[in-house]
Amino acid sequence: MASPSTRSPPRNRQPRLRFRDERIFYYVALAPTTIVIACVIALPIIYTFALGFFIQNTLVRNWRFVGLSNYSDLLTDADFWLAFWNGVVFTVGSTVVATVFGLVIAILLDCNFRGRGPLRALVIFPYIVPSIVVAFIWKFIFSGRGILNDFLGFIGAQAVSVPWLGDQRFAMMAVILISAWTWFPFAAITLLAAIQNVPDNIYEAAALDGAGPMRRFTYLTLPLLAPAIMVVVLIRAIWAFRNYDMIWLLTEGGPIGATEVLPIMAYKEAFGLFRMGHASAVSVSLMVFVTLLAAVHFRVGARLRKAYDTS
Amino acid sequence: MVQVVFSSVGKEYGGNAVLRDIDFEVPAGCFVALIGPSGCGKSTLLRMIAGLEHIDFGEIYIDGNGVNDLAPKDRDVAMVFQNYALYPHMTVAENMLFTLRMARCSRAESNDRMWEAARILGLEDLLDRYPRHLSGGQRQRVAMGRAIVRNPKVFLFDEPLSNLDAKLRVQMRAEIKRLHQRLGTTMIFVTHDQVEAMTMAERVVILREGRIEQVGSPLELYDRPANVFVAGFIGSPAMNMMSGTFERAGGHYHFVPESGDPISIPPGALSGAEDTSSGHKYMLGIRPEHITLPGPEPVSGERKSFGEISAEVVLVEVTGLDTHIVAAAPNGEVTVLIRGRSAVAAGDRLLFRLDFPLAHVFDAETGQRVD
Repeated sequence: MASPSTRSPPRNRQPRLRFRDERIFYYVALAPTTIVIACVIALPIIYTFALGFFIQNTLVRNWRFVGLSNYSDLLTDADFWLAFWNGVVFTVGSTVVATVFGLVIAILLDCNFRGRGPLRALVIFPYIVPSIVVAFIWKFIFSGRGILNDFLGFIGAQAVSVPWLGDQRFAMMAVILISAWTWFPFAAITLLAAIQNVPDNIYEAAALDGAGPMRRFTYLTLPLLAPAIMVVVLIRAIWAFRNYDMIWLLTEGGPIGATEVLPIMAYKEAFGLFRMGHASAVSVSLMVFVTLLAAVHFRVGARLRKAYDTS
Repeated sequence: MVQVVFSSVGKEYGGNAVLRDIDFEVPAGCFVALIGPSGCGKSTLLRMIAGLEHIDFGEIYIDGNGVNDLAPKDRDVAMVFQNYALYPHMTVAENMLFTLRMARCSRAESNDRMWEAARILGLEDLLDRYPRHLSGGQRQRVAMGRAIVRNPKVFLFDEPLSNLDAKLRVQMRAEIKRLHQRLGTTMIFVTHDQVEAMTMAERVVILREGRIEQVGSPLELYDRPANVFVAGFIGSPAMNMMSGTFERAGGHYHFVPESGDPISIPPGALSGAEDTSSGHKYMLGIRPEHITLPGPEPVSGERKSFGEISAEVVLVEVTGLDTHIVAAAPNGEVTVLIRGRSAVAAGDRLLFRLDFPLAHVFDAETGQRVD
C-alpha cells in the first residue's frame, strides 16, 4: 500500500523558456551589456581611429583623406614630444610620490595605536574629494598670495615665494605633488590590505631569527609587498598618463606648455584649434602608450602573483 | 646544556589573568611538554619564553640569566610555529640561511650548517624549492631546519604537528624525538594531544585555566594523577569516575555511590587517609584497563565479591588491538578496556570487577588526590 506521504503531489508545471544550448542563453544574457559597451566605447574608439586618417575642421565639416600624414606630422612636432615627455615626467613623478607616501602611511596605519580606526577612515579623504574641489584648495595654497607663500613669508623666506603653479620651473612639481596627494590614499589602502595579509608569525619568526625592525622591513615587508606595490604603480601609471582633469583644472597645461600632456594637447587640438584629425592622431598615440602600460601591468602582475603566492 | 626556570610567572590580558603563579624548572637537556585544553595558556607561556609576549609577573631564567627584558633575538631560542611561518618568498635554503645571515655568519660556515641541518632532516633535494611547493610534512621539516641551523640554547615547539595528518604525525613525532636524542638540546613542546605529550616528553606540565595542575614524568601523571582534572585529562579512554562515600560494615569498607549498590573494598586496598566515618564525599577513579570481567551477573540475592558491580553493556568498540566496552551501571557509565578480542555484546548483563588497589581516590570537594 502506498501511503499518501510517499507519493508527491503533482507539481504545477510552469511553462519555462528553454534554451536548447546553454551557450545561447549566455549570449542572450550578455547582449544588453555588449550593445551598451559597443555604443559608448567601441564606436567612439573606431570613429577616433578613422578620424586620424582625415583632415577635418569642425567649423567647416569637410573630410579630406590624408592617410598617415597626421601621424607623420606628429612625429616631427616638437610640441607632441614635449607633451609626451611631460606626460612621462608627470606619470613617474606622481606615481613615485603617491606610492612611497602611501607605503609609509600604510605601515603607520598598520601599527597599533589609539585612534587608528578614525585615522584609517580619514586617510581616504583626499581620494573622495572631487577634482574640482582639490584644484581650488591647492590653487588657494599654491597661488602667488596663497597660504604657502604666506607661510614662507612668516618664517622669513620671502625670497623663495613664487606663484608655484604659474612658474614654468615649479608648475610641474606642484602638479605632481597635488596629484600624488589625491592618489596616495589608494596606494595606502591597497598596501595596508597587503600588509595585513602577511601572517604575523612570519615577523615573529624573523624577530627570533635575529632581524630587527629595519631588516624585517627590507627582507620581509618589501619583498612580500612587491606584487601589491607593482599593481599600485602600474594602475597609477596608467591613470596618470591619461590624466586630464586635474592638470587642466590647475594649469590648463601652462605656463608655456610646462604641464601640457597628451590628453590636454588632444583637447586643445580638437576644441581650441578644431583640428579633429590631429587631435585624433594624438589620442590614438596616447592610447597606444597606455595600452603598452596595461600590457606590462597584466604580464608583470600575473608573474608576480605566481612568484609570491604565499599560500 | 641549558636550564629554563619559571619563577612565579604570570600574564594578564585586559585585567584577566591568563597565567598565574607558574613555577617550574626545565632541567638542562630535558624534553618537556606543556599540555592542557584550549585556552589554558600553554602557547602564551611558550611565547613568553620566546619573547613574543611580555612577562607581566615573575621572571623567566634561561641558563641562569633573567630574560624578561631581552629582545627575542637576544634570548638564543628557536621556535617552530604551528603553521610553520616559513618565509614564502625564500627557498628552503634561504629560509634556513636567513638567521645565519642576520647573525652575519660567514658564507662558508652558513653553508656548512645549512647542509648539516638539511642532511639531518632529509631536505637535501628540496633546498631550491619554495615553501608553496612543499607538502605539510616537508614544510614542518624546513621549520625545524631553520631552528636547528642556529644551534640555539632552547627549542620551542608550538603545536607543530597539529596541521599534519594522523600518519605523518606519528612519523614526525618519532623524528622530533630522535632529533632531541641527537642534539641533546633543551626542548619545550606545546600540544593539546596527550598522546604526543606522553610519548615524546620526559616531563609533562599540565595546565588548566592558566595554572599548573601537575608536573611530572608521563608515567607519574598516569599512575598518580594529582587531582581529578589530571586523572580525567590523561589516558584514553578516560578514567571512570564515580562520587560517593566510604563506610565500614560487615568487617570491611564499602564505597557507597550516590546511586546503586555499595561496592565492597578488599581489606588493605584503602590508603587509610580516607575519612570513613563522617560521610565525607570522594571521587573514586579507576582506569578502564583496571576493570576485569569475571563473568555474567549473578542471580539476584547472591553476594558479590570484592570490587564487583553489575552493569549492562551498551556499546562495544573494537580497535583491532583491544576492545572498549561501555556499560551502564546504576552510578553512571563505566568504560572497560580489554586487551585483544571479546565475545561480549551490547545488551549483556555482566559483573565488572574493579581492581581496587589500583583505584584512585580524590576528595570530591577539592578534587585533590587522597593518600
